[in-house]
Amino acid sequence: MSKKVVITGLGVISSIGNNVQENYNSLTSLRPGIGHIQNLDTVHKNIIPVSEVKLSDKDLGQMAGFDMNRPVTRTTLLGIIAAREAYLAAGLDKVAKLRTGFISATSVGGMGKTEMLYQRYLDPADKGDFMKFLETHDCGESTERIAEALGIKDFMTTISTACSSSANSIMLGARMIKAGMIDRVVAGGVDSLTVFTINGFNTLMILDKEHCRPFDDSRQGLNLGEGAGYIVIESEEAAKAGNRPILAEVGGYANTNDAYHQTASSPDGQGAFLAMKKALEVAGLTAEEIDYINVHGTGTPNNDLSEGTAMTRLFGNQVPKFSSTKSYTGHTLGACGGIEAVYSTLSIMNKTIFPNLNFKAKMKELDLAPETSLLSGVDIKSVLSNSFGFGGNNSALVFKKI
Amino acid sequence: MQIYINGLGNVSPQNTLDNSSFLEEIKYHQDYFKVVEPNYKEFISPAAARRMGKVIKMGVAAANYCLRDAKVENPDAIITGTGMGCLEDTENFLCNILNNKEQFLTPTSFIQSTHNTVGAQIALLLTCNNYNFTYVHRDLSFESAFVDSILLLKEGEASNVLLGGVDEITPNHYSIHAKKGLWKTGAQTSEFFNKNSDGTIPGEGATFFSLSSSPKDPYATVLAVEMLFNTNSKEDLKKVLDRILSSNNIQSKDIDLILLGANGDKEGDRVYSEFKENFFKENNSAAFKNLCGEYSTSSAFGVWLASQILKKKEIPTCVSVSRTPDKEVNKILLYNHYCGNHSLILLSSC
Repeated sequence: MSKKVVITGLGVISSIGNNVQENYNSLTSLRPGIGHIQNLDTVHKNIIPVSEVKLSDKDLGQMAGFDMNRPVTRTTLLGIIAAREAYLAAGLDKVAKLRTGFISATSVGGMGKTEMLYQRYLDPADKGDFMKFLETHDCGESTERIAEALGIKDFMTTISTACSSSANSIMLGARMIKAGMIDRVVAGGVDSLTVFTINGFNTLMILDKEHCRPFDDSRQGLNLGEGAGYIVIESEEAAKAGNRPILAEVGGYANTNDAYHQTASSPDGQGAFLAMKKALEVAGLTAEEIDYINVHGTGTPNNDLSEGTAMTRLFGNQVPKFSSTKSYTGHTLGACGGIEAVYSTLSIMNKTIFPNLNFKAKMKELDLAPETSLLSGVDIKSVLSNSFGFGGNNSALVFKKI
Repeated sequence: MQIYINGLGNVSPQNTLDNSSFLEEIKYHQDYFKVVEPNYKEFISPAAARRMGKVIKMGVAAANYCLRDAKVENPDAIITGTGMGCLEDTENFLCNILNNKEQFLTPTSFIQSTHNTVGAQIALLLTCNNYNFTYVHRDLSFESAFVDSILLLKEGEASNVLLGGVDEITPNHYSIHAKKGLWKTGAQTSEFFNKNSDGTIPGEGATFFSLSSSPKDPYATVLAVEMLFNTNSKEDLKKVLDRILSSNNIQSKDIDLILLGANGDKEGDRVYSEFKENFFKENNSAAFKNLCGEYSTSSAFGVWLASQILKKKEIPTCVSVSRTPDKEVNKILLYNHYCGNHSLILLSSC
């Protein structure tokens, strides 16, 4: 079980770019993707800001090379684009012999299409061609379509643990590789914006009407986003044998449950604390050895206080440099763990810490300030990446420089 | 390492919660299978229960029965599979959005619509901070959760795992899919295997297992859980079967009962007949979905049935076997498939 699991490919699409390079450029130019709703038909247009991928389904279909006569969702298209980028970057198309898996994650799957068609589905007299979209509703459907686009058949599954979903798919992939169950895995997640989620979070009154301000005292909530992020992971031996570029190592991981409330985080951040602590243990690192935390940092009063409390419990007064890249991408729900795994790897590779935008003042309760300007030339040996979700589902990943 | 099933909890369309009887009478349902709902008050406060979708209540109850059966207070992990998630809450919130034009919404059904709600509520009620995953991979959701449970036990990260498969059916789900011609509409579930009609009859259930690396009055041991994806090739199936048999050092004749996921749909059931014909021609076989209906995690009901048969050493009369077993049933292979996805689960008596 001492096998090292390494990252050999990255893929991402988000409001700040359609591929890894574009995302990196936006992150280093301090260019967020938050703005008015364009692609969704909702009464909240012009009121609630979101972080949309600025392409129509048709454009995404073209980019994904998907036959748009088949029933397909925006979720699947975003997923294909990011997963294929990672797959090709790792050169996986050139090695046939290894057992390859695809582990994806999503919070609402094909809801974007379902909410448009639901009333027609319910009308017994309405029996058109649209009925073919019925099979695109469930969360596993996008996984099957993306795996099909990549030609992966050896293993696939889908995880849905709300906002920690795609961190958990990376964790499962790493465990399966260590156990020798599979040689390499494309792991991450995808979510598209839906009227369903916008209204859901709006009823919880945790959407900021301005740009989100993670960890700032004036924070009012999160901005919802969409996108997909995947990484290719494999055993170090397999990567070396195949001469694939090793970008970083998946050093540690953990999943715990806060067991406090269905949607709120506990005041002492118990689940978050345990997840970070366990991830460090798995990585064989002490708290001092973490150079940077890509925090969950949604910008809700509850999350940031709970997460900050957990960080203070674990790191004492030596909290490492940290930032929330959700100030660029918004909260992409089931995709955020995957997207932030890509960003964490970019941080290690480029010796760069991306700033936490919109931060002005520390929250009153904690003496914690994120990085607010771009830091380059930082030797980052280990990054901790947090993802916490509804249902108290908390995950932490550790990425290490190789 | 051996993996044992030490406890069961099954909220299903049959009387399956009471362990002292074993499917003595079969319950029939009109249109589709509906679970026999237990008294939820034991596990959930009446106020909370009123707000909860059915699948959450079913799941919490089945999980609690299972832990009690296995004498486990707080599991080392909770791993759940659900194909469709919390349908009732999802539909409620979606209908409110559409009917009220996105106005006057309340958050309860949204909060509970998240796919991991069942696993989360179990953790919340037990104050269980441990590993908690939810798999949502269509008809392989339960199997995915099963594979992860075994991995966790083998890693030594858990000494016991609470594993479950949960799915509910709602009137909307039934009528929408009826439009697609998936069901034998308007049927009694007694007509499940009526070959003169197309489609199947859907169902629901919440079935939990307490898995452990050490036996505690166990029902069965788990010898293999395998999945095949997006294939209809006989060779692919054969390869996996060979792997299961050789890794357990057994031959096909050693399997005393093949439990098939046949669901009464002419097209789909042909795959099961071919499976039997190709690989287990001489073996005894039976089907189980006439008891629970077809749903994404119905294989969990099959694993429950197999576990009970192996421990109680009896096959209930409502399970129609191809012939009366001439010896004790010690090994059962469960085979399930849907749209090119297949699963094979091999259990043995202890």
